[in-house]
Amino acid sequence: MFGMLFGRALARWLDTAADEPAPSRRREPPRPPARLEVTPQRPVRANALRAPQAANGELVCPRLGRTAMGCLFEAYLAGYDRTALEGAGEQALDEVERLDRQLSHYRDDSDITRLNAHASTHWVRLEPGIYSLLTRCRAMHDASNGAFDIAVQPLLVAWGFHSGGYRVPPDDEVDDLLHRCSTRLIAWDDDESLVHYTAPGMAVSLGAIGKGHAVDRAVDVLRSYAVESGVVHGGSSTIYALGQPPDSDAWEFAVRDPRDGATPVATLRLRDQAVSTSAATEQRFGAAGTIHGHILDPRTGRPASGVLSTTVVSASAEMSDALATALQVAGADGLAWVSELAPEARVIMVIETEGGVVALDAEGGHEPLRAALPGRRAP
Amino acid sequence: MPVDSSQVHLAYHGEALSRREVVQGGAAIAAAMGVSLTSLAEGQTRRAANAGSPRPVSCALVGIGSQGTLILRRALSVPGVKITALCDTYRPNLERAMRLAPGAAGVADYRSVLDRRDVEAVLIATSLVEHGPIAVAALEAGKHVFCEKMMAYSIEDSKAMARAHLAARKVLQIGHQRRSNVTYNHGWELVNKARILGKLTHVRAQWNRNGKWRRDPVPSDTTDRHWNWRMYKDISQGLMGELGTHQVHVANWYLGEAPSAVVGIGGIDFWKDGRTVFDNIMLVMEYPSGARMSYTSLTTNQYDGFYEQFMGKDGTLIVSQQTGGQYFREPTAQADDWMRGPVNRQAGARGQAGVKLDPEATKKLGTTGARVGQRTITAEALGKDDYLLQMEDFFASVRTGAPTLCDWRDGLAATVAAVRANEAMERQTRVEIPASDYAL
Repeated sequence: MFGMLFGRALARWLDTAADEPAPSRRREPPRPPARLEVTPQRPVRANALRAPQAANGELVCPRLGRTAMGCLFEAYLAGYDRTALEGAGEQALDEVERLDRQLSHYRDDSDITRLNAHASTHWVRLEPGIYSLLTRCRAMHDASNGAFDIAVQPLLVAWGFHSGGYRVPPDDEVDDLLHRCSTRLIAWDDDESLVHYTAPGMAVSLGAIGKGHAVDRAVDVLRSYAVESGVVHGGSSTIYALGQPPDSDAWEFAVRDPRDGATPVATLRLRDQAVSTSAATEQRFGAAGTIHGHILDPRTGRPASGVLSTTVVSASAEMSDALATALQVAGADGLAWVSELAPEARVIMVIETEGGVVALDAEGGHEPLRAALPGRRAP
Repeated sequence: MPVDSSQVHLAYHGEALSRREVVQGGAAIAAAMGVSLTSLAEGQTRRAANAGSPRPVSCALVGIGSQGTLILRRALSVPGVKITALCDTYRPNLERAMRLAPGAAGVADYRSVLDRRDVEAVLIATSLVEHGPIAVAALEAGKHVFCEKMMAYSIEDSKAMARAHLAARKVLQIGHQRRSNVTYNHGWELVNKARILGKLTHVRAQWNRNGKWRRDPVPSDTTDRHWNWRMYKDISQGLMGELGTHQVHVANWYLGEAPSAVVGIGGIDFWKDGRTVFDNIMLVMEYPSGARMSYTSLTTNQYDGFYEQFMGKDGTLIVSQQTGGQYFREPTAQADDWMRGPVNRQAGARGQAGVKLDPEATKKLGTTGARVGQRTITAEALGKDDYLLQMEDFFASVRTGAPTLCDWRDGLAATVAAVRANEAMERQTRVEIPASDYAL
């Protein structure tokens, strides 16, 4: 599980969590109850949800899940009061579900559907929360020189990535859409939270940032209930590591080689940080001898190529989610503007070059570490 | 060029019409509504002129729990609406809302909201027992009021709100948002204009969930009674009030009448966690026409979710926020063309052949000669849920003085149903509902 990322602490958790029903897809039969060990020299910090010391103080690790935004969102929480943890987790997932209703372009009554339906002919008023999310998308678009663009939705539809009816659209269709679909063609009224599309047929999709935004908001809810330890993920491609695990000082994740999905390329130790990964292998189709990945380059209107996977660690899931998509499009050239946009971000890219497959590991604007990966080239 | 909030409705005896139809539809309808066509046309012209920049409305929100936050977000999505004050006694919720509506003043006492001159309308989403006192005070202070459902804890409080509304001549709208829902309006037309069900004899409605219906965890700086007020019968009308009133409201609206008697059974049988409201209820309500409504709300099984099912001699119509609308014709009934057409064929729970209602699709059919669906205009509602449509309706009424869709009569009738149903379950007896319950 967890796509290109693999949480070691989580894997152990899944194997040892005492009282959770075994997920149906799990191959092994449930093991006899066993508790996570708390490392004595690293006591779990005081937690507002903690049972009084007089109670038996047993560590509980509930796991909750909900389907939203076309994927599974999960919260793995650690603490001492099961009712409180589960309640906080349910409310965090309620928030995700609420955002799904607001942001999904699959629903016919979401704010994004309303925006796309009316913004070409009217100024559409948005709730300030969504308006501000869109303005952050605009900033990301500008900073990335167009590598990140929420207005890519009509192109996704043209390529069939929206419906699953894949096709390679003719060049003139792509060129026409390219002229009409860009964040540059959106007009904004910051005072009244109004948005207007200046070109007909424009539509936005928050697929490249929505999951990250939802994960951040879910973590906000958990924090408001003083949950201090846990992991929240959306579709296993965007993960937030809240605090630290009960038995360690950081949540550990391994970044896998996208070619085999197993060999670790790097290990991440996260604490109050988010990580997102984007890979062209997740959804793709072949036509006329070419494999087309599902991430379109908004600058060319065609699938991005060259980067096998991009993993971004950042302070917020919204930022890591958006950066992973933008860098998957921009390639190593994008590292220049990432260091300005999110100086704290760490980027791990697996790139196909003429000399073979290379892993780049860049942080804080420094020259990236470069390592050749062994084995065959990507298909 | 800001948006035109043009999904404006007028209500008269349960009839929903778009303003455009009223204006275009001629003097007969306008006369039936007791208003002159000229004034309506003027309103329309004024609104069209305002479409470029709708008149700003400054409003306040009192009570900012989860429902309050929801209507806050919807209100903020209506062009020209400005939130100038926010009010809640629980500080964390107040601070959260102030981040959603920057620039709004935050206060703990609702009376200081009513003193403000920059508050033209008040949205109320407090706990139920506070609806009556706050709404009355707001109306007496000359504010327009949108009050969440159910209207008030008691019949008397609801009537006090209605009297204050009539005396102040300010807008009062109750938050049974299905009244603004496009599918529900379409269903109403099918039942009452196209008469697709024939003689309507029974209504079956339910709202089943699987959960304790309690918000946990309770923050350490508040109390369970404050946080989970729905659990306490001295301040909550329980499942019948919080869920059932929505559905009785729909039944009343479709049937054009209100219950005259009720029997029921309820209990605290599963969630024995200190709550004093029933965790499962089963009721039958009688209507003056002889129609009966059975109602169930469970908290231990969510199968089939929530819906209202209207059953007539010629067919069955199911309307739901979850699944939209579905129509199943009785085998003995005459079928119209549109019922046979290939529009959204739908199978019932046990394989019955039916038609899924689609206001857009049936509207298209309407242009080819079918006699249903032509009155529901949906293009302007595209992408809007009924909470947003309800807010648009409210602010349109504030701006134009047009009657609200869900008015005090609807709110009072739903309150009566909840109060009398709970009385029947508590006393374990049949309760006759006096006509005086519905009169001011």
